[in-house]
Amino acid sequence: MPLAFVASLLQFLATEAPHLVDEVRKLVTAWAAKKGIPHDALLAALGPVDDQVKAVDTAIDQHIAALWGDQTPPDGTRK
Amino acid sequence: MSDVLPRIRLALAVAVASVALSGCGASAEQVALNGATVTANTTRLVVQTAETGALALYRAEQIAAVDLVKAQNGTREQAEAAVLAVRAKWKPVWEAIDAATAAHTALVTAISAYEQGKQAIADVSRVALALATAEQGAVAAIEQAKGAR
Repeated sequence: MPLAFVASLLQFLATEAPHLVDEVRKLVTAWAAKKGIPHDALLAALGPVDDQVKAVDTAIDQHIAALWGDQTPPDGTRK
Repeated sequence: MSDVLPRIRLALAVAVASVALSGCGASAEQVALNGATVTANTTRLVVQTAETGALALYRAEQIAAVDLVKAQNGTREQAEAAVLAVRAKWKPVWEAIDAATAAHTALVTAISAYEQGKQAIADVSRVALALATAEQGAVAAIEQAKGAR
């Protein structure tokens, strides 16, 4: 299981199932320890908090678009 | 999350730093190194857990704000303004977590440098103290954001 996959999985969970993130992080940490992956390498792969904040913000923006309808035309300018 | 543990850790870091800075022998250096290592390991775990909880709250607050605007037949612009207010409130939290993460990296680097004979134990203890302070800052920022709901 490559670290990049783990990072993607955690980003997905951060927006779609945040209640699972804590448990999955524990599993990933235990898995990394078994595989001998240094803790710092694991932390680097999990990404900075800013990336996770952006992932949440994107999900909220999509929630707004779903509730009010996406008013953004193909040229990208908001009506 | 309890903010008692970070305070205890900060007190320990101050005590260990005092030993290290007082010009000590080999055994006291080992105590200071052990203290710094414990600070590095436990603090990162605390910040990570706090970060996960903060992200979940951050998301929940934004959804609640959007849903409230929708329930009151508000506009999309009002919903966007509501989430912007939540994002502004939580910004100091992400900055504090970034600072704690940077302080953790600095301590891991300092411990490694000490083990290679490139850094004095007093410097390692100063970095450990900075990490304990940053951890307390992150926890306090989260508590403040939660309290301002």
